[in-house]
Amino acid sequence: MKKIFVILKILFFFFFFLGQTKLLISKEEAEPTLEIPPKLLAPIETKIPEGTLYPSDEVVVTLELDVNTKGEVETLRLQKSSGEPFDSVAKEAGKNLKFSPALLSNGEPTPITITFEVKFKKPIKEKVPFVLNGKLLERGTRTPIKNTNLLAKKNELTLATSQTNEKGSFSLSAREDSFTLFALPIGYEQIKVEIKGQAGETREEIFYLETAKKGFETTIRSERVKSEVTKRVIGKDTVEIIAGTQGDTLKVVQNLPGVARPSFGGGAPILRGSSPGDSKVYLEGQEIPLLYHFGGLRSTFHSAFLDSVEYIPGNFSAYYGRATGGVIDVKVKDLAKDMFRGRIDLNLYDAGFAVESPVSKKVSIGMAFRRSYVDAFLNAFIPDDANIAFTTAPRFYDYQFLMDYRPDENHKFKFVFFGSLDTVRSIFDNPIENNPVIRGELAVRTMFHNLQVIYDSKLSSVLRQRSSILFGYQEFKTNAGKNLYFDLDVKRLSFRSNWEYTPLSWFRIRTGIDNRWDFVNINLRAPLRPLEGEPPTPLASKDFLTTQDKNVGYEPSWYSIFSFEPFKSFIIDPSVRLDWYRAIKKWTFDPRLMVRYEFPTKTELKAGVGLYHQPPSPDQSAKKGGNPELEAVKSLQTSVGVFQEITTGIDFEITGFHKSLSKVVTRNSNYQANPTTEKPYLNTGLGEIYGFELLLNTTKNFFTGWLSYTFQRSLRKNNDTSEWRPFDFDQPHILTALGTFDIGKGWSSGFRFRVVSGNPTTPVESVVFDTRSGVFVPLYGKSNSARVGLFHQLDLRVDKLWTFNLWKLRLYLDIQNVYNRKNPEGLSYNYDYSKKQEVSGLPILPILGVMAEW
Amino acid sequence: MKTKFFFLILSFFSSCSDDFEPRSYLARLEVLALKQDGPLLLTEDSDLNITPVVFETEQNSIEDHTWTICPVSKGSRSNYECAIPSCEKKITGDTLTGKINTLLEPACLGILKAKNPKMFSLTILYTVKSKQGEERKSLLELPLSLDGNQTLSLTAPAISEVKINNKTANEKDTIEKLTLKTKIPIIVTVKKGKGLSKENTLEDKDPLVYFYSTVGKFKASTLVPKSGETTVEAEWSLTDYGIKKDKADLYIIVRDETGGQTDWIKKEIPLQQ
Repeated sequence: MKKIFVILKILFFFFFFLGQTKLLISKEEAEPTLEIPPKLLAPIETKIPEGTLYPSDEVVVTLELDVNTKGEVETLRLQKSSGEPFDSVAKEAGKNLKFSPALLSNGEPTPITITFEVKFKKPIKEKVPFVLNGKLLERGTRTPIKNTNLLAKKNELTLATSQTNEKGSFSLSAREDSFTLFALPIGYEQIKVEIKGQAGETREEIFYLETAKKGFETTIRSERVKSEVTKRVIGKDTVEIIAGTQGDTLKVVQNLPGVARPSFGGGAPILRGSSPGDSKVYLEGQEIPLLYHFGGLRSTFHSAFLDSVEYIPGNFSAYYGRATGGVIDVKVKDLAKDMFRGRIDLNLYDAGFAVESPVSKKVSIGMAFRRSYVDAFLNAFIPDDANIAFTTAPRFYDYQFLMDYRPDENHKFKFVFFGSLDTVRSIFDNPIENNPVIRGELAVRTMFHNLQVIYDSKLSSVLRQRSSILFGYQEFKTNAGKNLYFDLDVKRLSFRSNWEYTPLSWFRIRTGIDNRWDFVNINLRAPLRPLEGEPPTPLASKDFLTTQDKNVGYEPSWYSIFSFEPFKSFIIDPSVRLDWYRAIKKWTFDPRLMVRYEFPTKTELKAGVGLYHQPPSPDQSAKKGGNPELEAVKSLQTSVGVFQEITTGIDFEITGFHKSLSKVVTRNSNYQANPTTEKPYLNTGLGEIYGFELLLNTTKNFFTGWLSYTFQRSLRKNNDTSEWRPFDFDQPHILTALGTFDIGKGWSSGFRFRVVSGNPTTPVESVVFDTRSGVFVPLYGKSNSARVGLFHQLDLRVDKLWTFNLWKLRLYLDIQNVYNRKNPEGLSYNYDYSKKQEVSGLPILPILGVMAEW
Repeated sequence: MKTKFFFLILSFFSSCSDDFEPRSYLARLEVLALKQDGPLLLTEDSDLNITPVVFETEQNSIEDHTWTICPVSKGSRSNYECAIPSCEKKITGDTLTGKINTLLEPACLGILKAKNPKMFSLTILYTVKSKQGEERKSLLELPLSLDGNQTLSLTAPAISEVKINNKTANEKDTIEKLTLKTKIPIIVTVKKGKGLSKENTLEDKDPLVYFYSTVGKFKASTLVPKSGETTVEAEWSLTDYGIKKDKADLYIIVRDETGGQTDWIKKEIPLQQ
């Protein structure tokens, strides 16, 4: 009920003092005069019905009241009307007025008639607020923009403030029906928008904001974990549009300093002059069996679920072991907690999708699948009279299922189930001329399935742990006809647990175990595989090894990494690792040290030295056909580096390194003559690797890229008395320049230019015709004493990105080998090796792709 | 390990090229086969009687034949160096004949008999040189058993019949003139031989049939009979190579990958334009 304020004015006082009061006094009483006029004893109470229209801000009804000697109103008359309902209300209220009686000068009460004004003031409507409930979301990805302050302002006056929560939501309540909404979220375009509403209205609005910086993030300059001399972390978002990589994060590693270029068809990483098998690839600390499909075409783990790739070319800490090369550790991202997200991508040779979504506050799931489809049309390109028909054309697929479970903020579980299959099967109508052992069916099938469970927990402010277990199954089957086959299957159980204790601000210790069991079945009839440095010879000329075997490999290890910071910016990290290898029944002990100092001038000096061991491969240490008495290969590694931030967004790094190898496994040339007294393999090999790496990295608003140069020599010799020779992938000069330009309006373009020394090759000095198999067998000269020609190639890429409110669409054209250079990958010989020609890699290859993401 | 084996299998791709002459085209000194006429699983008392099948660009152009015998070779990686140098023996002559226990020195036999097992792969290296300065080396390996208990009898594959252009063309048959720039079917019927299995027992061996000629090329010059069959059919195109000649030499060799087990036939075929 609205309150009606009535101002009562005793007009007779007013009139008495201002000359406007009429006082009616009886003529018969002349002597006593009015001494005290009547006083209103209680305020008048009136109630005007709601919704009554007031003709003016103040409505006045004048009444004439006859007040008796008791002060009661006996009668009243309307003197001045203001219309209804004001007249009725005034009259009704007037009847109930109570006055103190008027008193004459002799003290006696007297009846009196007074004029009484009843005033009705028009009520001031109290303003109902206008409520704006909104969300700030990133355009295209719908990512909530959190912790952003918003203001509602009008005429420089702040009417209301709010802040977005975890979901990007906010609520503003203002008692004005129009205002300007302001917000300045970090990394996004600012908001300044006029909002017009109505009092009492509640409105919902979603604001989709463009990122202020068009999708480029700091990449290589991200935080360095302090246990490695050289460690580069590749962020996913930047690398997706690097030319020549088709958005495959793992392929970007091949452009970093210290990485040699694999020849066409070879995909395993060649890091700092080490053989592909000497470097390890991990997924969250657990080794994965296969990094790329079909020797480098596409990685086996979908980039959508990668958070980053850590690349350590050498001098890695004791956290990693069983390798004398480098390490690549793939980090899996945390799955979406906010909403359903996904992507679909299609290009020239494969298609895939990835989706992820929260299921509850504590659980998120994701899955991805990719399959190649070149097999669908490959047979159409093979001439009818060709000697080959694919019964299963080359194809691959890979899949990942993931789940994140976060019971609380101190515990996290991650489940990753992933796998891959590469297969091809073909029929040769007739034997291959220069390799007649290959006839009939040629089939290759490589498959693995891994289930990995990772548990992270923060046990206290100084103690945390990370443990993971892996169950894996790998299968490798290949055959060429019925007389040549290789069947291998491995069941793997791997467990590692890492504990980190930081009792003091200047001291931290990480310690853990890294255990692995392999249950291996092998059945093969195959030639002995060539070791590094041994050139290929026709299969038909080789002696074959036939074996069927089962064995169990067990490799436990323990490590500790200490971290001291005796004074600010100076860090010393000694570490130790102890390994046992069941196959050769040997222990190895690896001490390592890393030192780092950061100057105030944004200069970092770092150095490392350490011992590294690697067990021989299973075929080398096998009881049948191998030597179980072999020792582990040993490597002493040192490196020194300087990092300098030149200015914001530009930095430079140079690292010098040296590795010496000993106890490298070599073939025993006396074994064939004395198979019962000699061993097929020995530990007499040696290696020397040295060089330096330069990296100039730039991340600016419109350009991101880097220039990388590596000079390295990698040499081997079979024993103390033999001569040094180049390693199979000794590439003294590796130059890579790449970059991506943000042109604007969703357009971006990129380039990659590489110049790399040709790989070594071994010349053929003479041949012998093997009359058993009908093939010519090359007799080689000095190992790796020649070299194929220089490799250089330009790749270009152009992207167009459409960003809609709820999703993004990217179209790209990635052209590899733009000027169609016939880069020599190796040599091809005629049947008797009297003529040769260079074998070229891929010609110009345009790859058109499209990707939708939400 | 798996990756290396995979690419070992695929290494044959590197030798495929349309830019090279086909290996079936004979235009220089070639040793096509080394045929052992005698036991194919040798013992101490066995006779070696090895005849080379040599293609010469001109008649009587061979200047030198050298044979090198070694009971244990270090293999191709070591350029077939003899692992027991005192056992290596060099002989000259256009054939290699003699008993094993004559060709190998008694001291060598003693060394071999002291080893275990007593199964060896006798490596015979044949080098031929022509007056024009060409040189060819070829290799034959034959199993040699010195345990004194060897009774297995290996047999070589054999060519039963040859038809050229649908007419029988066995060794003594005369062939009619063939017209250049045509395609000629050649059907070869073979008989399987028996060789040693990996367990040193007898087993049937798939014969491979090789075609060579001084004119033209073959759609596929190395053929193997399909399972259960005994014939192969080659398509001989009298085009592209040596087409100015008035006759073609055709060689058909059959072998089964286990050494010395070879048969062969040579035909001279007149040609017309």
